Amino acid sequence: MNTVTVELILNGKKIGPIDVAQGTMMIQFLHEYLNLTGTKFGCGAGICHACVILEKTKTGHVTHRTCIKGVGAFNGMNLMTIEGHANIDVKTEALVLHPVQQAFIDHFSFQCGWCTSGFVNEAIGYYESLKQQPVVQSELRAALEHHLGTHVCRCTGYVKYYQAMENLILSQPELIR
Amino acid sequence: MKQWMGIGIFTGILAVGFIYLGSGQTAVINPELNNIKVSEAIKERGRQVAIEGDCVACHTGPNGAEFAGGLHFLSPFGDIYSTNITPDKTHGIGNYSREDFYRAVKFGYSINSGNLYPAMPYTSYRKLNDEDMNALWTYFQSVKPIEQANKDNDLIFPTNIRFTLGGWNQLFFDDSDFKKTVGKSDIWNQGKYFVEAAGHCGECHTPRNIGFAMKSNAALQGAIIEGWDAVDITAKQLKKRGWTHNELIRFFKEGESNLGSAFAGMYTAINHSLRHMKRENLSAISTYLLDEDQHSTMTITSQLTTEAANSPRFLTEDEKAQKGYQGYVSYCAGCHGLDGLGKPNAVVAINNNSVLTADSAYNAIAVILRGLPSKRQSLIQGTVAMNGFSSEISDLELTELVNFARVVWGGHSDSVIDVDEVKAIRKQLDESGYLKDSGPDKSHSGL
Ligand code: FES
Ligand code: FES
Repeated sequence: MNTVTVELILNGKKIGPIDVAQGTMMIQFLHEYLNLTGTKFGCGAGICHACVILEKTKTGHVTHRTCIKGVGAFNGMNLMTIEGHANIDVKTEALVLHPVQQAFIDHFSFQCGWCTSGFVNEAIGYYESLKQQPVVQSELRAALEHHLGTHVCRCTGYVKYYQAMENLILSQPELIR
Repeated sequence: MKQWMGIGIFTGILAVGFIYLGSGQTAVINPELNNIKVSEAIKERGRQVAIEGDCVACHTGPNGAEFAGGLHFLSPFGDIYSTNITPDKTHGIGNYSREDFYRAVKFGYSINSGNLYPAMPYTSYRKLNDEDMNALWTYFQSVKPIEQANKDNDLIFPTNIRFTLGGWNQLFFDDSDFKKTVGKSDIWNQGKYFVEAAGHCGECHTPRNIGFAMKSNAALQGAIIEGWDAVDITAKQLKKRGWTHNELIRFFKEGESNLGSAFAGMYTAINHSLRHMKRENLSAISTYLLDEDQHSTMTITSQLTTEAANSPRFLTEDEKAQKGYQGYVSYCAGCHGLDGLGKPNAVVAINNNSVLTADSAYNAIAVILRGLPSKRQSLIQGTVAMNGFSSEISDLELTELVNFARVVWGGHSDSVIDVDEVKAIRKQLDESGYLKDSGPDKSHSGL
C-alpha cells in the first residue's frame, strides 16, 4: 500500500511523522487516525463548508475544507479544529469557550449543529483578523456575509449566526473603526 | 499642394464609399419574400430556428425577460450589451420591416443602431436560407414586446464608431450563401447547414485572424475564448478523442457523456439550444461533425465504446506511485474519487474525459485553476460546483498533476507539459480576471 508521511501541528500539539494510507482525505485523518470527530462531513464535495478547519499563518488565518483535500496537502501547517478553541481555566478548572463559541450559544445560533464546526472556524478566523484590522461599523453586515457566506446551514436560516457575530463584534470597540 | 489635397479628398470619398458599401444597409433582399403567407407551421419553424440559433442565450439579461437584451459581453475592445429584439416599437424591433430584419440578422446592419458588432454572429447567420429567415421573422413578430431600454456599449476608440464596421465587413465578411458539398448525403449537408448557419459553431470553435475574423482555412480547429479552449471539433480530432455518433447526440441532448460533460459556453449552448432540438437534427450534426455517412456501423462502434467507458477502470498501485498522483489526492480525489470515477449525478468522471484526451492541456490546466460553477441540465441531472485551486496549487504541482492525469486517464502515451506553459496560462487567466473568484477557501488576513 502506498503511504504518505504526515507531520503537522494540530490544536497546538505536534502530530507525526506518521505514515497514512495515500488516499486519505483530511477529514478521514481527523476522524479515523486522531479520533477528532467534531469536524462534520456534509456534502463531501467542497460546497457546504461544514468540514472547514482553520490554519494559523504568519499573516493571519486561512480556512480549508477537509473533505476535498488529501491529508498530504496539510503537511507542515499549524491547524485548529473545533476541538481546539476552548480552554480550561487554570483556577476554576471550568471550560472557557472562545468568545465566538460563547456568542453562538448565547444567541441559540444552531439547531442540529452539523454546520457548526465549519461556522465556528470561519468565524474565529474572521474575528481574530479584526484585532489587527478593525471593520468599519456600517460595513460589518456586508463583511460578515462576505466571510461567512459560503457556509451552508440547512436548519437555521442563518439569522442567529449573523446576529451573534454582529453583537459580539459591536460589543468590542477595538474591533470597530 | 492643391493636387495633394485633391488626392486626399478623393481617397477619403473612396474610403467612405468602400465602408458604406460594406455596411450591409444596401443588401438586397428577394422581393418575393414579402408575398409569403404567415402560417402556424412557419411560425413554429421560426421558433425552432431561434432555438437553433440560440438567440435567447445572448439576448436575455440576467433574470431578465426573454429576448429583451441586456447581457454583458467583455470584448477585447470593451463592454458590449446585447439588445432588445422583442417587437417593442421603442426599444426593440417593432419598427423593422422584413428587409430590416434580414439586414440585421444576415448582414449585421440594424436600423436602430447602425452596424452591429460581429459579437452578433451575423457572420454565420449570413448562411441561413430564405425559408428559415422568413420563419424566424414570422416568429419574432409573435414574441411578446418588452419595453426595456438598451444599454450603451462602452468601447474604446475607434471601435466605438460603428460606421467603420462597414470596412471590417468589406475586408472580412464572407458574403456568400450556404453551399452544399457535392457527393455527401442530404443528412450530412443538413448537419453542415446547421453547424455553419444557425448553430454558429465556428464563432467559438474557429480560430480568428488578426482582424478578429474567423480563419476560413482553419474552420472548427479550436480557439481560446473567455479563458477556455473551445476545442478542435474537426472530425479527425473528435474521433481521436473517442467521440461517436451516439455519444455526441447524448452530449447535445443531456450535456453529459462518457467522455465528459459540457461546461462554460458549451453548457450554455446545450442548455438553451441544442438540447431542445429534434433528435434527427442532432443526428445530422453528428454525421457532419464526424464526417460519417453510414449509421449502421457507427451505432455498433458506439455501443462498444460506451460499454468500455462504463466499466470502471481502477488505477494500479504502480500508477498510484507515480509523480502527480499525490497532487491528485491532495486536490482532486475528494470529489473525483481515488480512481477518477467521479460520483454519479454530482461529479464528472475524469477517466476518458475530453479535457484530458484533448491534444491541448489548456482546459485541464484552466479548470483546476478556475473551477466551475454548478450546473443543472434538468430536474434530475446536474453537477456540483468545482472549486478553483489557483490560490493553493503551485505551478510545479499542477504541471505534475496534469501530466499524470493526461497519461493515465487521457490515453496519451506521454505528456510533457512543462512548468513554463502552466505559468503562462495561469498568468494569462489571472490578467484577464478569471482567477478572481476561484478558490473559495478564505484567507482572513489581519495585515
Ligand atoms: S463536507 Fe466539506 S464542504 Fe461539505
Ligand atoms: S444547524 Fe443544522 S445545518 Fe446548521
